[in-house]
Amino acid sequence: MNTEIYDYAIDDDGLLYTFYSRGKTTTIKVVVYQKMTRNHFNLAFGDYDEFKDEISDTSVTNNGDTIKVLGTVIETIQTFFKSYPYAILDVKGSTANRTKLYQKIIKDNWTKIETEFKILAFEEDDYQPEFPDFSKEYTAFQIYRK
Amino acid sequence: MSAKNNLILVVDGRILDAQEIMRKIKAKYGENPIISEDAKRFKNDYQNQKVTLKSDEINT
Repeated sequence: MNTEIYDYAIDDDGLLYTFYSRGKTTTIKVVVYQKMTRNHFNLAFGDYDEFKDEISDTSVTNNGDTIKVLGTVIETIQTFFKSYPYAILDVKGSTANRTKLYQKIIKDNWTKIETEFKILAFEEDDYQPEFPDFSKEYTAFQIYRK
Repeated sequence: MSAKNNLILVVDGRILDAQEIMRKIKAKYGENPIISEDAKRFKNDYQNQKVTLKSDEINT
């Protein structure tokens, strides 16, 4: 990764990751690899409110560290695939803006990512089988290990 | 390497313990947590065979 990232903790199954965003405030970030079927997973990412004991995947923290936070999320993908090498992973932001930021991180780290992963980029649910055209705005990504 | 077994942070006198946080999340959302509404809907439809996946065809 070319992006600076936070340290993160992993649970025993390799499906749940936690780290702390440290900007104007400290926020608990959670990355969850939601198991849909035997080998199909969906990435979810949000803030954990320890007082309400709830995860919100739509909250906007404005903590001034968006790139570092999303860079950390992308880094957990590499760790996830070490435990689940045959997984198919769907990545879609909970908002269009968040998907746009995922795309930016993927684009910025494409040279490294493409050596290890195949990424299908979706435009309104139609997948694009060729190399992603980063001038377009995609709505979701599907990631496999090569 | 940024992956750790645990992360403990003290913020304004509060102790944040990542393993404890993940234990609470699993207690609330299940051992294989599903937190997003889209994923809950999809999993429910999939289990009720209302949707299928190309990956099932590939791997069967």
